[in-house]
This record gives sequence, C-alpha cells and structure tokens, in this order.
Amino acid sequence: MKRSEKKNLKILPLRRISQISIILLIIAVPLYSQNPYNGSPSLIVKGQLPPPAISKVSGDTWSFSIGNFSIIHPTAFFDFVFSAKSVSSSMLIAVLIPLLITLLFGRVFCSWLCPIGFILELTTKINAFLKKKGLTREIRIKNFRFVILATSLITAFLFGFPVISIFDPSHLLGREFSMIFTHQEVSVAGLIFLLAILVFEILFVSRAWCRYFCPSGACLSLIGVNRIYKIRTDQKECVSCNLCRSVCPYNLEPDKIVNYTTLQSAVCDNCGLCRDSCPKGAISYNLCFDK
Amino acid sequence: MKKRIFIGEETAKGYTRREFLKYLELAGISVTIGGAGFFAGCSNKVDSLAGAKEFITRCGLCGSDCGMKTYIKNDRIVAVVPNKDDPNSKGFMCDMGLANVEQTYSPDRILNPGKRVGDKWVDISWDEALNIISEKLSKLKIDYGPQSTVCHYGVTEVRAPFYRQLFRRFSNVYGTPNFTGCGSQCAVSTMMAKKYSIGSVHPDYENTKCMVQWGSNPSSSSLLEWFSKVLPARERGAKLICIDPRANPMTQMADIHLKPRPGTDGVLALAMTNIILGNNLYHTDIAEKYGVGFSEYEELVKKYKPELAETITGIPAKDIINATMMYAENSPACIETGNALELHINGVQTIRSVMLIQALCGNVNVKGGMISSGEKVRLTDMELDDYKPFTSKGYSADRYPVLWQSRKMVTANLLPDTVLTGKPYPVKALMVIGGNPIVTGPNSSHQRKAYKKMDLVVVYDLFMTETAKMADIFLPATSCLERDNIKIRDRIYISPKVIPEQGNAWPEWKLWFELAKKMGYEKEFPWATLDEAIDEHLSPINITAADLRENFNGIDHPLKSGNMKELEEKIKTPSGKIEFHSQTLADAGYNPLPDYVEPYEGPADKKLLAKYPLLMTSGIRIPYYIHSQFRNLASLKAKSPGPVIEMNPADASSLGISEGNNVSISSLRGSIQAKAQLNKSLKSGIVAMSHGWSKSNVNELTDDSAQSLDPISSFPGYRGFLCKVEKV
Amino acid sequence: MKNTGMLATTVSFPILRSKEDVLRPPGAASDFLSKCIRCGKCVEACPYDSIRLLGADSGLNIYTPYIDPVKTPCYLCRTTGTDGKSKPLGKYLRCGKACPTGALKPILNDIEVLSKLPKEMKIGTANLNRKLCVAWQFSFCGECYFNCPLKDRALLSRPPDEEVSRSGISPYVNQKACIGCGRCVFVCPVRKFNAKFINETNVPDYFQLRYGALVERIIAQNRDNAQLPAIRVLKNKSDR
Repeated sequence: MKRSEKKNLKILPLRRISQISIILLIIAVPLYSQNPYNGSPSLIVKGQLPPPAISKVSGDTWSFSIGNFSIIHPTAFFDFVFSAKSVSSSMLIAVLIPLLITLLFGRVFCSWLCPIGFILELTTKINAFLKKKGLTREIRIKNFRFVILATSLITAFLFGFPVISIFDPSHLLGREFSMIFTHQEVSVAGLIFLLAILVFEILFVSRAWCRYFCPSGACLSLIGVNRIYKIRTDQKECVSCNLCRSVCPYNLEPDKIVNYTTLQSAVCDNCGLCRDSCPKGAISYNLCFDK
Repeated sequence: MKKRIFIGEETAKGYTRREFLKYLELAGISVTIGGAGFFAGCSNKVDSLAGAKEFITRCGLCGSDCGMKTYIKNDRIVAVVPNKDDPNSKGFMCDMGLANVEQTYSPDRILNPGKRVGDKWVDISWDEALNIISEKLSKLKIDYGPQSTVCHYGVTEVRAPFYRQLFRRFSNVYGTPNFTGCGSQCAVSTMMAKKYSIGSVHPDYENTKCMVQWGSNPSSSSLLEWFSKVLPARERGAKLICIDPRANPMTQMADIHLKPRPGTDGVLALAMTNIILGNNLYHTDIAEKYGVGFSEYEELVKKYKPELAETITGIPAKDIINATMMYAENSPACIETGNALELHINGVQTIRSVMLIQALCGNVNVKGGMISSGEKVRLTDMELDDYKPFTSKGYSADRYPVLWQSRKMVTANLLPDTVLTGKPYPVKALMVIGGNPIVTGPNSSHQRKAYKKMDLVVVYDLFMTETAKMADIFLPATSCLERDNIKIRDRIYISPKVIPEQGNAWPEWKLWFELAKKMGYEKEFPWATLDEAIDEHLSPINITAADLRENFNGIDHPLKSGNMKELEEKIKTPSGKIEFHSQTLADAGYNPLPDYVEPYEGPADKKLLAKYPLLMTSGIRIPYYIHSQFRNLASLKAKSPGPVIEMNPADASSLGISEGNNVSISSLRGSIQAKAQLNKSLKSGIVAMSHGWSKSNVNELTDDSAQSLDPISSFPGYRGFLCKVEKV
Repeated sequence: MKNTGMLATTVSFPILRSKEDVLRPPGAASDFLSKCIRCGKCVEACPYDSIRLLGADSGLNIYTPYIDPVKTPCYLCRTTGTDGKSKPLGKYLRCGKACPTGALKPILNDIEVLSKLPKEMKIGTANLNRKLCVAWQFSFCGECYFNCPLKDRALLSRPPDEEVSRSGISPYVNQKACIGCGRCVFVCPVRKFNAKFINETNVPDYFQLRYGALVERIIAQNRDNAQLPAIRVLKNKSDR
C-alpha cells in the first residue's frame, strides 16, 4: 500500500474503540455476574436457593478470564511472584500472551487497554483547556516510576503481600465497579486515590501518573524495551512542523526518531497520536528488528 | 474537507462530527447500561406479599388462640405471621399455627360430601347427604330408640366450644343420652379430681414462687402457656420441680427433676403428704376447719413413708424429701398436672392426692398458688340441657355413675364393647365430628370391628382420616381460618374467618342448622345466621355478635354480682370444703379417700412382666402435631418425620438394637413397628412413644377392656402398659 | 522465608495485622495474604455474590475477599434442581476455579468431599450457643438444620451423645464435617431485626416475625452475651 494512502487510516478511532470496549467490559463483567437476590432470608424458602447468576467472564485489566482461558497483567504476575515466592503453571500460561505482546509491541497496554490511560487522556484535554485559561500550574516531577516499582516489589518480597495489586489505579477502577455492582459498596480509600490522581492531572501535570508514577507502566516499559513494533519517522517526508511533539502525551520527539534510545523506547506506548497527527504521513509503525 | 470539531486543544487532529457523535453514543450507552444495572441490582426482589391485604385473626388450632396476621390476595391466603400486637400472645406462634395455611390448602382436603359405596367414595351433594342422615336417624329412632345413636366430638370441637354446644343441642333434641368424645381421655378426669378435692382452680404463674409440673410438659404441648407464663415465672426466679419419667426441654431448667415409674405418681403424692404432715409443714386450720375427712386422710397417709415410695416409684427417698421441702418452703407454690396423670387406672385418685397437697400447704385460693376465675354470669344454655328427660340412660351410665351425673356423658372407650355385645342396648349409629377415635382411642382393632358393625357412621373432617375411612357418609369441614370462632372465657371474643369456605366445605353451625331443618327441629334451631345464635347465647349479658365483631380484643365476661372476696375464696366442691373424703365418690361406691392402686398393666404383674418386660408410656407430646393431626403437612413432617420409640440405651443394646433400627413393639393386643431412638434420660425398663401415627399406631397396643379403665373417669391406661420390643 | 515475611509484617506494623478472624472463601491457602492479588475475580465468579472485599479498615487485608454469612452465606455453588434436591453448578467450587494465583484452591463440588475437607480448606466452623438458640430454649426453629447443605453430617437434629429428650429439633454441630458455609448463620432468626427488609408496601419480613417474640425474649435475657446470631461461623485457628 502506498504511504500516501496509508495516511488516511487513522489509528485513533481503532484505539478509542479498544479503550471504550475495555471500559464497557469492566462495567459489564461485574454487572452480569451480580446476583440481585441478596437480602432477606425469607426470600429463601426452605430448601430453595436464590437463582444463581453465573458468568463465564470475570476479571478486569489486572487479571481476566473467559471460561478456562485467562490472561494476567505482567505486573500482577511479578507482584505475585515476589510476594508469594512461588509460581504455578496456570499463572505462567496466563501471563504468556500479555508478556509476548509487551515484548513485541511494548507498553501498548497503557494506550490501548488501560482505562486509566483513557480517562487521563480526557483529563489531558481538560488540563489543556484550563492551561489556556491560565488556571494550571506546571510542576517539575522527577521520574519516580522505577523507584516505585522497585520499592513495591521489595516490600512485597519482604513483607509477603502484593503491594501493587492494592493501589494500581486501573485495577482499582475495575474493582470499584465490581464492588458497586455486586454489593452496592464502594471503597472510599480507592475513590479518594483515583480522584487525587485526576485532580492532580487536571490542575498540574497531564499524564503525570503514566509518566512519572505508574509502577505497572514501569514494569511494562522494562519488558518492552526491545520491542520490534515501533514508531519510525521518514526524515525525508518530515517538515519539522512539531505537531507530533505537541500531541505526544509523553513529550517525546517522534520526528527525531530514526533509532530509539532505550529510554525513549521504553516510554513510548505506541498510541499512534503522532502518526495520526503528521500531515505528511511521515510517521508510521514498522516492524523493526534493528535497534 | 470534513468539518472538524476542536475540543480544547490546538492540534490539527480533532474529531469529525460523526466520530464525535459515535463516541458520545458509545459513552451514553455504557452509562445507561451501568446505571440500569446499578438500579436493578439495588432492588430486592420480594415475594408475593406485595398487594396483599392484611387481616387480623387468631389461630384456632388449640386453646391458646395466638394472634395471627394473615395476608390475603384474591381471597387466598398468601402468608401467615404471628401478630406482635396481640395482647395475649404478644407475637408468639408455634409451627403448627404457621402451618395453618398448608392445612387449609392441602391437596388432601376433601371438599365435597361423599357416600361410601363398597370400597369407593362417591361425591354427593349436601342435600343428599343430609337426607340420608336424617332419614337414617329418624328410622333408627323408631326402630331402636334415640339411644342407638352415639354422638362423638373430637378435640377440634373443644377448640370451638360454641359449635360443640350446638352439636349437643342437636343430640339432646334428637333424644340420645349417648354424648361422648375426647372427654373420655382428656381433661375430664382432672376436672372431676379437682371438683372432689380442692375445686376448680388453676396455677397463678405470675405470682408463684415455686412451680411443680407433674406429668405435664407445656414445653411440648401448651406452647403459649410455656412461653408466656411458665418461662417468665422461671426467669423471675420461681423454683421449678418437674416430675416426669423422661427429660424434656422444661426439665433441662428444673431445680429438681424426679423420674417416677409411670403410674406410680399416687404413691409419690402420698409420700409427699406423709413428709408434710410428719414435719408439721401444713396449715392445721385449713386441714381441720375447711377440710372434710382430714383425720381419715392422716391415718391413710401414715404408711406411705418415703422409703416405701422409693421401692415403688424408683425415686430415691432423699430426692422425694428434697422436692417436698422445696415445695413446702417456697410459698406460695402451685402444682400443674397434665394428661399423663389421668391416663392410668388410678388417674382420678392420683390427681386428688396431688391436689390435696396444695390444700395442706395453704396454696389453694391464694395469690401465687392456685386461684379460681371467680363465678361468671351464666349465659343462655345452648345445649338445652333440660330439653326432655332421656328415655334411656347412657350405655355406660351405670358403670361410671359420677361421670354420668356430673357431665351427662358416656365413655367412648366402651363403645366397641357396647356395639359388639349389644348390651345394655343396641347401638347402631355414630356421628364423629372433628375427631379421629380409631387412631387416638384405645384398642384400634377393636374399634374397627365395632365401626364395621354399625349401620351408619358419619364423619365430619377435613381429611380422609382412618376414622373417616370407616364412615358411610363423609362431610367436609372447614379449617379454622374459614370459619368464625367464638370463645367464651374471661374475655369473650370472636376470631373472624379470613377466607370463604373452600369448595363445598361447611362450618359446623351450618351443618347443625341444616340437619335440624331436615329432622324437623326448626323450633329448636330457629336462627338464620350464626350471629343470631350468638346473640341468643349472650343475651343475659347484653352483648351481641356485632359488638364482638367491632371489638376484636373482646369484651370481659362479667362476673356474678356478689361479694368478690367470697366468690374468689369459695371452694368449688360439692360440700364447699376441701374434700379429703369425698362423699360423692363414696356414694357412688368408690374409695372416698385418694388411696393408691397399682396401674393395671405394670411390673407388679410378674407373669406378664416376664413376657412383656418393658413398660411403655405412650402419648409423649411432639410440638409439631396435635394428636393425629397435621401428619400430612410437609413443613411439620420435615421436623418430625416418623414415629419413633425412645429406649434406654442399655436396654436397646441388650436387645441388639441401635439408633435408627426398625423394631417391632408388641403387647397383649397387637404389634406395630417403628424406628428406635436412644434416649439416655429414660430409666432402664421404660420405653416411650408418641401417638397419632396411622401406620405405627400405638393404640393397636392399648387396652379398652372395662377393667383396664379408670373406674371413676373411664380413662384408658395409655401411660403405662407392658410391651416387648424386638429388632426386625 | 514466607513466614518471616508475614512475621515481619505483623511485628512491625501492628495496626496492619492480618485479621485472624476474617472468614475466607473455601480453599484458602495458608499464605493467603501473600497469594491474593486482590483481583476480585472470586467476587465475580461467586454465583450468589457471597464473597465481598474488605475495606481500608482491615489494613493489609484491604481488597482481599471474605465471606460474612450474616449478609450472604456461601451456597457451595449449589442450586436446587427441579426435583427439589441440591445440585452442583459445576465440577468445582467457582471461587477456587476463578482464582488466577492459587490463593484459593479449587475444591470438588461433591458432598462427600465437602464434608471431609481438611481444616485449612474450610471457611470456618459453626458454633452454636444454646443459650441464644430458639430451638434449644423453646423447642421451635430448626431453620439452621433444614438449611444446612451438609444436613445430617455437619448439622444434626439431636446431639448424638447427651441426655436430651426432645420431640423437636435440637441442632448440634459436628465440627469435623462442618465446612463453615454459614447458611445456618444466615437463616438464624436470632439477630437484630433488619429494617432494610421492609419493602415499599411495608410488608415486614415474615421470616423474622415468625420467631420475633421468641427472639426478643432471648435477646432480652442475654444482654451481656449478645454475640448474635445463635449460630456463628468461627475461623479455625491455624495449627502452629
């Protein structure tokens, strides 16, 4: 296919569909598995039980299964391994596909599947809007991702409980939905945490969580450091309009990319915004087996 | 170029309107689904009580009359709950009351009159049924006299005494002296015993300091009384002495639990009297001033020392002494006796001796002891007691003169004898209203023979009971929720019906009104409605049925005018005094003093004991059944699935029987089978069984021969007869 | 190595101490707290929504699953078939099957297996307080007995070895067979009347009313010992 035709195929709609599907999924899955018959014992005539609600699908972005087929987030896997100091064959099988995908494509989870990623993209727009009104403040934040990841895993190892599984916000969101629909309960601590992230992002730095704090993202970055499906810029077509730089959520410089440095490679999540924004179609996805 | 909508960001990329709407649509759908699911999850699916109307009435299955709330939808009861606001029951209801609905809508109910043709039942109309009955009764009256018809009322009629009065009215107008019923094995013996000792009094649980439950187990049989009177007394700190050969929920909280050999309670009572007199624990003025025959009694009691009682009853002498001291020292005290004491050959005299203990200790007609309800204004006699003198005496009048004179009743226990021998005169017809004597009366096989011989047997019941199976005409009855129930006690009240009569079932009053019309008794049964009859009954106190319907909680039954104190302290015996010696009994040829005689079939009969080594006490109470009723209700059957015979574990193992084994139980009369259940609380040599099961009917084993019945009350010896148990 | 970690946790963070008495779903491994990745799949897998997640007040146990039989008992993934008998919803208990990490081990959904579970795999064990029990005090009730999925194995209608002579149900827990599912707890009427059960037509929960008068008596008599309901599932103390 000629490159000029390729330019008409935008990645963004596909990605949006993927992200919205995930959001719908993490709402629909607990919805379908809920049983509305909780309550009075007198509804249960002697010997009769409330009708069961069985759903073959369960889980959220942390760990998901349809029937006997299950997949697990690589960070969840490592969190577990460090805290329980053991691993089962079913877990190995479950982490296989996400691991492979991350190895090959990098941290695509963050841009294609993560519900927090989607929400934070929306808050990015709000932040940009407020920025124009001058209501935001810029804060310089150091990159704490790997520190948080390392600390969490060491804590998990030393104290024997999986730390990241407790506070990872994509998992937190899925869990909140699960708790709301099954028991009409909500974790206030979790909500406060999520809201804090949102408020921080709206008022201060956009995608701060994904860029500077998320340990899951850090773990995926590490795994996907040598991915093969990367952004490539054709320098011949590039006109240095800097549009790609302005849309990149991570403030990377796609126009400079011919070869990636490790760090840049680790940070990019293949969201395709730069590709979509390039008026000349200079940026594209490519299978690059070279470094 | 498509128009792009920019959303707050300066990029070349924006969204086309179409894309924007698409995303909006997706977002909208997800919110809707989420919201709907949220609200769906929030609502509690409730059962079918919504839309039902609430009607308040009372359960009519026993004398407790517990308040009940029924929920009716389309003339159908969908639920029954206890009524928390009922001043009497305060929210209590037993499992049977809650199973009322099951009984009312049971598929086993017969809702149409039937006539038996050979082995089959043919549906007929009420008109035809009543025609058959009236023709037959009229013919029998001409051929054999009215005494050839026997009228038998069951316990359900005891719960509806107004209807029983109409039954008696009918039988009096018809002219038969033979009116009988469950009074041949329940309550009447106690009434007679009390009448000829201390008068009709009952325990004052609210103020008592010590209760003795003697052969009485309210925790399984008088549940509201247990819950609302006995338990609070116990919680208040009243002492509890239980006298029962078997442990039960009440004995678990007793201060003293004595286990006499069944049937030997008389000895125990006399021994206690001996201790009381010997230790001067009695009120001498009561004994000497208000008593008749005290010195004779004192003489009689001398030989009943505790050691003698120990050899006969099996209770250690020191326990007897402890129990007596506890009773005597904790005044005021009360003694409640149960049906168990009545069902021996020595029933009346035993209860007399028990009651007289109370008189000696000054517990009669005192607060906290035994009290009377005072004399109420007499209401119109609905039975027409003095209608016309009977042309013949009752068939058992000569044998049981006191029973005949005091209550004008004959004993149902001698019905088979009378029918089969034709003496003193032929008996050809029987009307059983709300009873099941084939199962609950003694010697079932003997009864069946008698029923087969009779010309007409009419049964009025809800179900095809064993007795109904032997009937010629079956009349469908209403359950207590389908009929109005009027009760006349300290308060007079009506418990209204909540649903219309099911199918072709008729309430009793309608049966008597219509049958009376067929028999030509319009003059004696002039009323068009039930309320008119009630009005006539209550006219002496100027209350009408309409008043009662307006006042659900009822109206006080006014007391006779007069000196209140005098009336309360009046001793309701024939002589007006405490009768240690009863002249009435003496005149009838009985022992005027309550001496002890050995039970009819007991260990004293050594020859019989060798063949039948175990002493059976039958009729232990189960809190889910009343006699033979409710065996077909699933919720109750689940709690007590089948007949068991309770055995002492050592006895069982010596016979090679373990828990759950099928065993056969036989007596001189016959043999039945049941499952064995081990009960540590029974002493060796004692077995216990419940009655009322049609398949394992313990009354196949009981005796109805005249010499086995209590000579005064005619009650059978259900609570003590010899049997043997073998593994099947 | 595992125990040192847990020991370190409990010693160094007393306020985050693992809740000893919380009831876990059936099949919980002994190092449950380490293995559970708080994914909530057991919550979704449970066909009756019996499994709930702990909140922030449980410290380290936050978001781990627990069962509160008073709110919803474990129905052992069984339902009532058309013949009125209990039938399993699948070969295994669903929560153990759904657990991705093996924090909950799958258990065969077979009555024989369930009644012979080793102590570690049980949810807990039922304990009956006779002083609070309507059946023991008044001869009524028996709801726990009738609703026990392991009826006549775990809950018996009479104690096998006591001098009890009753014509009614006197519930007795055979601790060896009891799996701690808590259905007995759920139907025990001896608890505070829950106003939530009154629906919009104001028709009260007739199950509670059925025993209401008796329950009020028991509660009034046992003010100092109001560990309601009369039968409760207590966690087995682990063998150390």
